[in-house]
Amino acid sequence: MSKVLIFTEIYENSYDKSLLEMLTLMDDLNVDPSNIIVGALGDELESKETVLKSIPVSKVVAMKNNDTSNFNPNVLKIIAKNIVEKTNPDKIIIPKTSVGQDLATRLAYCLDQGIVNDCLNIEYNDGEWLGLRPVFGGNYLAKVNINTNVEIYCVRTKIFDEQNSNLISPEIEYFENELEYKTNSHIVDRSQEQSEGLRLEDAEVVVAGGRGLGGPEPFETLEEIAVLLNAAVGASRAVCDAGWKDHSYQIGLTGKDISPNLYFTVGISGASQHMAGCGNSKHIVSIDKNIDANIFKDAEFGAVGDWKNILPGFLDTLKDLGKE
Amino acid sequence: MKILVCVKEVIDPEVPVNSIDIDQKNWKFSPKQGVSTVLNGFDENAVEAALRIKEQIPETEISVLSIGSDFSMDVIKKPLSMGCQNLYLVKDDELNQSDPFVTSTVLSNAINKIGDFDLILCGRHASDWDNAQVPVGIAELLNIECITLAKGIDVQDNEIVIDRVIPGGSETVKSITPLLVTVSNEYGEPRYPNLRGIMAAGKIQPTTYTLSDLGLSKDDLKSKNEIVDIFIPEKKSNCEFIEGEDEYDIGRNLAMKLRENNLI
Ligand SMILES: Cc1cc2nc3c(=O)[nH]c(=O)nc-3n(C[C@H](O)[C@H](O)[C@H](O)COP(=O)(O)OP(=O)(O)OC[C@H]3O[C@@H](n4cnc5c(N)ncnc54)[C@H](O)[C@@H]3O)c2cc1C
Ligand SMILES: Nc1ncnc2c1ncn2[C@@H]1O[C@H](COP(=O)(O)O)[C@@H](O)[C@H]1O
Repeated sequence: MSKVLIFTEIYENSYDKSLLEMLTLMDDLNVDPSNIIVGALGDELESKETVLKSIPVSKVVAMKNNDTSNFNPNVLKIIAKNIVEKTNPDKIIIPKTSVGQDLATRLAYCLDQGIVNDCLNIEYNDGEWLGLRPVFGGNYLAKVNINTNVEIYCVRTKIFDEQNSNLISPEIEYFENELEYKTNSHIVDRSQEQSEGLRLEDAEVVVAGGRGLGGPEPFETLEEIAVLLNAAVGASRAVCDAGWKDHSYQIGLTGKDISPNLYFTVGISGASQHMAGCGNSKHIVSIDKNIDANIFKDAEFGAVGDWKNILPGFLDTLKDLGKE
Repeated sequence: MKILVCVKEVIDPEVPVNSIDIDQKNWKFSPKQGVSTVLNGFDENAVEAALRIKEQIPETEISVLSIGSDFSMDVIKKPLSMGCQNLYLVKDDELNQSDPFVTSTVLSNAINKIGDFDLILCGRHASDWDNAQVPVGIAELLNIECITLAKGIDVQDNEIVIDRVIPGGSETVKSITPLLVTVSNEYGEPRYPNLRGIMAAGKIQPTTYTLSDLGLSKDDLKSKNEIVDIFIPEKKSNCEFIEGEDEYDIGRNLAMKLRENNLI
């Protein structure tokens, strides 16, 4: 039976919830919960015992006197390597958060072990795990088998449901750090854009616009719709590269991964690199003037025509429905 | 300052799926007849970043390195026509480019052969294999640090200040050379080559190496991964198109439909 180490980030008052998605995946793969260890990454972990105790697995390990310098990946990789050497897992799971994706490949090279990056799923096949990942912008999927002793999988978040976190109060073990970590790179500032309202990643409804909108002004209509639907607003890369919206709005392979209940698009053609970030939405509904646009291959409901004429009818009706 | 930019020639990512042949034995992508290759988009951002540093520090020398089985000179010389000085190519027919360990081993050996660099720039991600791993690998093998997803790079004496993309914002990282940085599209539009640049590029001969020139044998390039299958994901394609008397009416009916289905 293989022993699995899952890394998770520990913040002030909680652990990163992507861990719960990874636990669902472990369940799907029939991993015995007693074979799962969580490796905690974060600062001053000894003072965050309540957080560590709330992690729903039977064992959590962390490094003593640990200073990750703000999740600096050049430091984290040493801490992670240390934890791997103490726990000897056969398989390592790293959720593809922004910290995780920066850590995963470094750790693979530090350990000289194979990795599948950006897994959409892991399949069980005759005793082997196969990582499923997009290639060529998501136009294709590849099934990849790792040939090394330790297998590392960096797994996409927002794909699996979060496992119910029934409290089991894990055993917590702290290790002395034995590797020296020093770095020449220092994070000196971090700025978060003022997010008006809902976070794109958390919203149940996302309203997104593409190049077909022709400029920044029509986004005001999308924002109006978003308010009525309690939705967040997103955009395609074409929109962000043109400067109509900030890059923090970008959805897709090189933007944000989202999986809302409803993804509503206007003037987005549905390029594979865009769909790579939103293809897991439960329902996709799209407006586009081109009936052959790729987006309609994913959409459940489509409206073909000029958004300039369709959106007013849509918006008026939403307002009417709201009054009922 | 000596800068190296790693660039890759890829099949145009905007072409439809059926324009590509996949060799099911060696898992190689190749463009069908008439389908073009381009410089990987993020690598053009990396070239642009190098050129802007050279504008600030004119004595900067920019070299470009690429490995591959086939090069189209028009494509691979584009960084030269944009303003870079040297081009190094490593050519091998059978190179397995799907495994980042293999690619980064070749690239790091090539870099050791070409010389010392203060700054190595890469794209954040190559649009063919979508690995987003090779740059980290190069840095690990060269034992230098790597900072990913730059949208701004500022060189101040021997300190490098990088503005990088994080979810919902940005982060400023200070580091020193030698350093590897991956560049994202947020850095800004790459410049177009001008006629003078294209003429100058025409005169530059690339330096070409084989794997054995780099002291590498097949044994050094064993994959850690094995691809078992590559396939096109199935799409449902059963979209219900909303009808109406005119487009305004379609909009109304769309909203009604979403309400009926409890989507809003
Ligand atoms: C490596 C790589 C990574 C990438 N990462 C991303 C990513 O993360 N996210 C992303 O979005 N893209 C990404 N892209 C870019 C992607 O390939 C597409 O170029 C991009 O998604 C296109 O954006 P769009 O759909 O807004 O524009 P277009 O493809 O130009 O589509 C515009 C649509 O609007 C419609 N339209 C025009 N006018 C009207 C009108 N009046 N009424 C109704 N409809 C109208 C058109 O019919 C068309 O379907 C990436 C590309 C590469 C190579
Ligand atoms: N064959 C190659 N030759 C030169 N540079 C490469 C090659 N493959 C990858 N790179 C560099 O590494 C970056 C990320 O590639 P990848 O890890 O394959 O997604 C690219 O944007 C290039 O800068």
